[in-house]
Amino acid sequence: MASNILLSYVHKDSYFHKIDPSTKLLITVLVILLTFILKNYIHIMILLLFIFPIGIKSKVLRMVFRPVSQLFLIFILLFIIQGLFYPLATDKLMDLPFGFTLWKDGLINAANVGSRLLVMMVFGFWFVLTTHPGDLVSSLRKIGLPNALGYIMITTLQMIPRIQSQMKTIIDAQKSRGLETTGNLIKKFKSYLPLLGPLFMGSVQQAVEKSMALEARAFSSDCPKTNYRKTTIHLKDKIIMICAVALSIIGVILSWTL
Amino acid sequence: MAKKSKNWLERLMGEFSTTALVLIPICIGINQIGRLISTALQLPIYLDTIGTVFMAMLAGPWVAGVGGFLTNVVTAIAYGRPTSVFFGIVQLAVGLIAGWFVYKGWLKKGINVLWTGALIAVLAALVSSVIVVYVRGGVSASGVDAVVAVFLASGQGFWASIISARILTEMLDKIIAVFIPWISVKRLPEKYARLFKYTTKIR
Repeated sequence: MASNILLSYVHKDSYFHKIDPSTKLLITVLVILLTFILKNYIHIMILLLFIFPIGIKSKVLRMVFRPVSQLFLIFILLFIIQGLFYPLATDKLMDLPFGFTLWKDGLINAANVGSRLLVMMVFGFWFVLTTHPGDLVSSLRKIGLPNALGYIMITTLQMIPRIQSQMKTIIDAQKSRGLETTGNLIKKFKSYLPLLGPLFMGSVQQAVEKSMALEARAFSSDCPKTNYRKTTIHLKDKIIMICAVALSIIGVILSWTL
Repeated sequence: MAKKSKNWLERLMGEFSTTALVLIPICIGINQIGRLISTALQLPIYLDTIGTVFMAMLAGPWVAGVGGFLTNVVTAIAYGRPTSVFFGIVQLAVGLIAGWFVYKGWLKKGINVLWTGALIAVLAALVSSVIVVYVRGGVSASGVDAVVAVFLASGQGFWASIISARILTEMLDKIIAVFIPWISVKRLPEKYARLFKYTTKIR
């Protein structure tokens, strides 16, 4: 059923595809925390350099930068809004026409936020490219993620494409009954209810049926559950985790003392 | 409700019945669809909390809060966008507050849908403004930015502009996001409605 799951995962035979998902999650979370802790954008951009060896080793280096194109618009708006209207601005860079002022510390703040977004996005995308959600949940359950949460995470990924196709059916059905989905704004709003109504009714029905099916398979019993996808935490995972934490702490100390 | 009981944890876990758990993925799907339809119909709103409010009306505040937060966790995992996890706090707040209104029996009267929607909008606007400023420097890369720009250009302060622009755009969004689930729950066949205990607070 792999094709029915919402997935960014790309299967490759690489070192980082094989290590335990919780190790990769720890690395990603550490990087995200570091982007908030590190002193300024130069240090955050140094963090970005780490993606190159990691990306090459994961064989997904080019793909990792795919979402960066979405950031261009955000960056432009970020520098305009922060540069002109930064609330804590004290350091003036230059006067602009129409009474606007360009603030230096506003631009620095924009660079901080921008580099943080860039690093978060690249590492986040690296994580989903190399980690199958099934493996992630199976690995997290070993650390103590409740079964229910694991179920929700996996099912949702399957549910989104499914509801999308259900929605398409409803739209087609209502259109064949003469529902207008084009026209002015009020007409569009009016067409909302006949589209979402059946979706809500159908989803309640589905929830009831699914819960019965799950209960028939002893979903809420306390006995140990089995996993379809198996993961194990090896010694190398532990070593990587310790190294990542140590590197992060050293990084923070260097960033704030130098 | 959790405060009254001695073993509040058990009561809280009792909220998460199998039916409620199954409802969460479906409503997360609806959250995603809301956004999809409004892009398809080219509407100026998101409607990405519509499933969260629906959960609140069927399964109460805790399920809605958790389900709302998970919406963003799952999208973060699916698309690799860690920033969306931060905005899960908005969904959490919307789910909790909507569920609380349902629990108090506010939504029995149709006119209260309007006030509930408006209050949720203000709350969501406040929470999302804080997050958008700290995580994304005040930029959301959507239609809201244009409204923010108008407020800023008219000489309003930074925070005032961002918050008021958000309240403005969220208002219609949240009223619709309360109205559509509300009317669906009202018209839900009795056969299904009795399986969700919070529906009695609405019907």
